[in-house]
Amino acid sequence: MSECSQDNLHGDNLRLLHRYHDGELDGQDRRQVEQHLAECADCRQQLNDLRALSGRLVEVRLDPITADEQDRLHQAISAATSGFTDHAIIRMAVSMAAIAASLLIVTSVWLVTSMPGRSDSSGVGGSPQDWQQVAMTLHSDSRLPDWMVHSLGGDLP
Amino acid sequence: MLGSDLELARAAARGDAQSFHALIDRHSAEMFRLALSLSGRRADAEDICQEAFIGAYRGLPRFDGRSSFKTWLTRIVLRQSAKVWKKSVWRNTASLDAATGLDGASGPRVKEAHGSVSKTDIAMDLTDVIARLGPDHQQVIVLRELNGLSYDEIAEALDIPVGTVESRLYRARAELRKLLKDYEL
Repeated sequence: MSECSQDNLHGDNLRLLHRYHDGELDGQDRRQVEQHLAECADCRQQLNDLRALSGRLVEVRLDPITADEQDRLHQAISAATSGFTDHAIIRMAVSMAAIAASLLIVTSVWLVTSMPGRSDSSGVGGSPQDWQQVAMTLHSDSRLPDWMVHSLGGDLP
Repeated sequence: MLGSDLELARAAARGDAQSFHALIDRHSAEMFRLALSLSGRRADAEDICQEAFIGAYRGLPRFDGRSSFKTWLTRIVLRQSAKVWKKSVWRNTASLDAATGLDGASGPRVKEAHGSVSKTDIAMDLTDVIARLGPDHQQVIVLRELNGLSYDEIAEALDIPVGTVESRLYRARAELRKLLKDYEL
């Protein structure tokens, strides 16, 4: 440690004193500080002040967690973790519904675009005559809406 | 037979809630003590612990085991405590006014010339005074003086260099001494 007095007691010397006080020095550093303390009244005073402060903090009483407080902690975690599980299920359900809706839309589009009577029909699903026959049969069923019959068979008498 | 913290944390991350409850049993006492020493109020300490453990549960998939589970949890409690500290600044300021005579309702008791202050009162007042330190200073004082962590452990918990722990501790003690003098404690 360097020479010190009340006026220049700062920086490295003070840090060393704090480290010494906190038991953070070992071996030669510790012996060096002890040697300095034996000769320096100002540093001894500083060390005593540090010890007094730590001694005061020992008075801080921290009662341990009670059984009730621990129970409430467990309950809060249970509520939160079950919430996460429900949330995950809901998210999965929404994802499944979205996939199902997408499949429905794609299938519908495919059906509509591949219907007979369309100019861009590739003929998938039978000839126009076949579809007209289906439409005529369906037309006789009054329960089906007109738009569905028209979409299948085009212009029917 | 319960496993190590890491094993329990990994099981909890896979959805085993019981493993996480085992971790709570293992660490809640220490974390509560830390939260109480930082907040100074049991209700706040309880809130801090609840939020911290919930946060830990959410963050389990990101826990890589490089630091110990306890250090990782300590960091979360410290962050949560800092949030509570910010919220309580206004409340503390109000009670500081109370202590200085603007309002006699609460705040640290100033020793009266004619009366004695019991040891319990002093202990409560010290907790209040510690809660008045800025969060950086409060954390190092609490971790070192009340929880007995080494400089290395504090550095790991706060994710700062050991040299910063040293300088913060030095300044925190100076601030604490000044506060204690101001309150004549």
